Formats: sequence, structure tokens, C-alpha cells
Amino acid sequence: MAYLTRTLPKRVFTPSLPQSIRQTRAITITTLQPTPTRPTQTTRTSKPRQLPQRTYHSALHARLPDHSYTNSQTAILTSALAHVPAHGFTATALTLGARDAGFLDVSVQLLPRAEFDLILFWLASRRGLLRGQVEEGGLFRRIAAEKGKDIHELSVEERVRGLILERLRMNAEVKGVWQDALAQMSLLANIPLSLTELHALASDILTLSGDDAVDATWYTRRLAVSAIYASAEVVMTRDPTPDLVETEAFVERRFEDRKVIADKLIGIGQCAGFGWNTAIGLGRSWGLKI
Amino acid sequence: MLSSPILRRCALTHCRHSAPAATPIFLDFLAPSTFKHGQCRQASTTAGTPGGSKPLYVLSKEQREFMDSALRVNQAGEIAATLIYKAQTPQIVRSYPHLRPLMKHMYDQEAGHLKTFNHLIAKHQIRPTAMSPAWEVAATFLGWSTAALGREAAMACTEAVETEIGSHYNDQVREILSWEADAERRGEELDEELKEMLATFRRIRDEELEHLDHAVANDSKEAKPYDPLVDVIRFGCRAAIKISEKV
Repeated sequence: MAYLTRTLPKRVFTPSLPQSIRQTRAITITTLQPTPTRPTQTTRTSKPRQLPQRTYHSALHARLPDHSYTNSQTAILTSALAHVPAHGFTATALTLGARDAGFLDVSVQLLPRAEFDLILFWLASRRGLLRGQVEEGGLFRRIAAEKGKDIHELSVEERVRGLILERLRMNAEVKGVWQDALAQMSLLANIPLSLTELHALASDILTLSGDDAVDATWYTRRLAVSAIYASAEVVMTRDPTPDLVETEAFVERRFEDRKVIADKLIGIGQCAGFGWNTAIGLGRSWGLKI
Repeated sequence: MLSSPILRRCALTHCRHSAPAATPIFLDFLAPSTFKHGQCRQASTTAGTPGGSKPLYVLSKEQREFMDSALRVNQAGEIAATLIYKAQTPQIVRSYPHLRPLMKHMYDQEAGHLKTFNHLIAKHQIRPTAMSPAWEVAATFLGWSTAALGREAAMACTEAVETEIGSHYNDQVREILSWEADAERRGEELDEELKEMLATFRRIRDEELEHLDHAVANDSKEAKPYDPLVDVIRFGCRAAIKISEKV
């Protein structure tokens, strides 16, 4: 018993001690020392473990971080985003961002994927921004007000459409350089991570909209939202209108297409099921042992 | 949710010092890697339950992954179970009308379990298994073919399936109980959802084992090629569980 009481507080506090030290060290690097001489020594240069995987979610537990960029990487990427509209998703933007954050030019090597890291960070941070807007409650109220409805009357599909458009509008400020980013994302080595990020976005949009599919439609809906969003992104880069009116019309049309296709497939499925049940019932009524 | 204000505050102050960001950025999903889960235990001391006195037991990444695959498998299993009973019922009831109430009772319980797990999957934002179309076909075929072999074979099928499912639920209950013991050692307690889930798993396990008893009481051991039949079905169940955990 005495042994237990001696070890118990120790077990609780030992893990937290080295962590708090590392944490303060990481913060000191980026905040208290404006020009770190050798940032590579204290931060990991290995590729951040990416792949934002969805796991068990609970309102009672903190959300697991989707990414694991270190503090220094986050600082560089955050300040590099400010240079994206002018310089595009390029090494120049990264270097300027590193300088703004008080790092040496060479510290862009902290980001092993270079420009692609910047693109991923843009996508992930916009996704987080979208989630923030919804969780603070303002976005759906605005969408409902635009349609002249009460917030509870919004259907899931209207919410999904609103979120897709909102996410596209976030891209408006980098519209000029977005084609380059799309080209980067479509490089062979970058495709898996790009698709993962696209799936994470589609999944977030559907979850935030209150979609509660628990069967195969879980997959088809995410596929549909991904397809609509990805194609609308391409359309957006060529959309000359100021408020993305053409893109909005494009998204509307894609949703109509989706509805037509879904109705067709559901109709075919129901017809086949009906035929099958009839055949079985007929067989049983004839006395077949089936 | 509980530690995110801390994270955000830390991230934002850090942001303000390092660079005046032009656009607001929510960094709580990009929490710095210094917040490794598993080392994150100290967060639980700051986060108390609303009414209780003990701090909340924080789930690690592995534990969340366990819950993720556990709930996915359970939902897939209940889909299959309902379909098996649904496919067996017409043929069994045709030859043995006295079994109608029993089949209906077992089917209703399985449908209730499925509803429970559908709710849990949606609530905890868990990906349902991608194999569900395949499992649906396989389960319907299994139910139909064993019922075609006769009442004993159908009951042997129930026995095999419920044995596997019962022990599977048992493993999950044991795992959550080990977390509870761990929490006890740390002076923390499991959150309400987990406690409720533990109770649910126990209830469902008992109901599955009750089906097993019904199957044995209805001559499942009399099935003609008993051993090969039961072995094949149990092997299939185990394989399906393993696949559903991942996919």
C-alpha cells in the first residue's frame, strides 16, 4: 500500500514533465528567439505523419490532431500563406514566409515536401476554418437566411451544397494560382495525399451537415461530394465572375445530375428487389422448398 | 473538445508572436506534435466531469482505434445476424410452425441490436464497413442454405455464429474493463458514454448467448455433418470479423 502511494503521483506526473519541457522549448524557438541559428537541431525534419484518419469520435474527448506538423513548420507555413496570392504555391512564398516568421532562408528544408506541404497546409487549414465556422453556428444560419428559411428547415443536401460553395469561396483569393496547385496535386507521387485530403474534406462536409448514413451510402455520398467539389474547383479557376456566380450555377447543375443518377439507381434497385421477392414468393406458393 | 481551448490558445499566442497572419487560421486540428497522445495524460487532470469529482479518463489513439474497429465489426455482425434469421425463418416456420415465436423473438432482438449499433456508428462518426454488400449476400446465402438443410442445420448455424459473436463481445467487454481498471489505478473514471457502452455490450452478449442456448435446446447438435458445418461457419465468421476490423 505504501509502495502504491509512493508510486502513484509519480506515474501521473512523469509523462507530463518531459512534455512540458519540450513544449516550452518548441515555443521558445518560435517566439522568444526571433532568429534561431540552428532550428534543425531541435525539431524533427522527418516527414510529418500525414493521413488524417478518422477514428472514434466522442463529444467528451478532444479531437485528435489530423496532422503532426511541428511548431516551427506550422509557423513557417502560416506566414507563407500570406504570400501565396502574390507568389503562388512556390518555394518563393515559403522562403518569404520563413523570413517573416524569423527563420533563416535555409529552414524551408524543415518541410520535406516543399511546395506540396504548403498546398496541403492550405487545404487542411481551410478545412479547419470551415469546421470552425460551422461549429460557431454562424454559417448555417447565414445559409438559411439567404434561402429565407429557418435553420432547422435546411435539408442535409442544402447544407452540403452551402458548405461546398463556402469552401470554394475560400479559394477565391488564390484563384489565380490555384491551377498550379491542382497541377502539383495531380503529380503521381502527390496523388494519394491529395485524395486523402479530398476525402477528409468530403467527410467533414457531410458530417457537419448532419448526414447519418451507416451503410454503403456512406461511401457513395462521400464519393459524390468529392467529385462535385473537385470538378467545381477546376471550373472555379476559369470563372471570371467576381462572386463565383458561374461556379455556383455549375454546382447547382451537378447536384441536379447527382439526384437524377441517384433516383435511377434507387429505381433499378427497387425494381430488381421487387422482381426477386415476387419470384421467391411465387416459388413458395407453388410448394417449392425455398 | 476539453483540451482544444488550451491548444488553440497556445497555438494562437504562438501565431501572434511569430507572424501576423493575414487570414484567421484554426490550428486546433494542427496541434503541434509535442502533444503526443499517450503522453497527454496530464490533460485529464484539468478536465473534470461536470457532476463527478474524479477526472475523466482520456482515451489514447490506440484505444480510439480499438473502439473504431469494434463498433464497425459489431454493426456488420448485427447486419449479418438479422439477415441470417430473416433468410432462415420462412423455411423453418413452414416445416416447424411451433418455432415461429422463437425465430421472431431472436430476429427482433437482433434487429434491436442493429438499431443500437447504427445509432452508435452515426454518433461516433465511424466509417461503416465497405464490405457490407458482400456480407449481406453471404449472410443471406448462409441463412437460406442452412435452413434448406433442415432445422438441425439451421440451429447448428445459429450455434456457430452466436458462439463466435458471443466470444467477440466478451473480448470487447474485457478490453473496456481493463481500461476501467487502468482508470481506477490513475484515480480517474471512464466517461458516461463508455460506461453506457459497456453495459450495452454486456446486455447484447448475454442475449446472443441466450440464442446459443435456444439453438442447443432445439437439437443443433443433431445436425448431420455437425463438425465440418460448424467449423466452416465459425471460420467464416472469424475471417469476416478480421476483415471488417480493417476495411
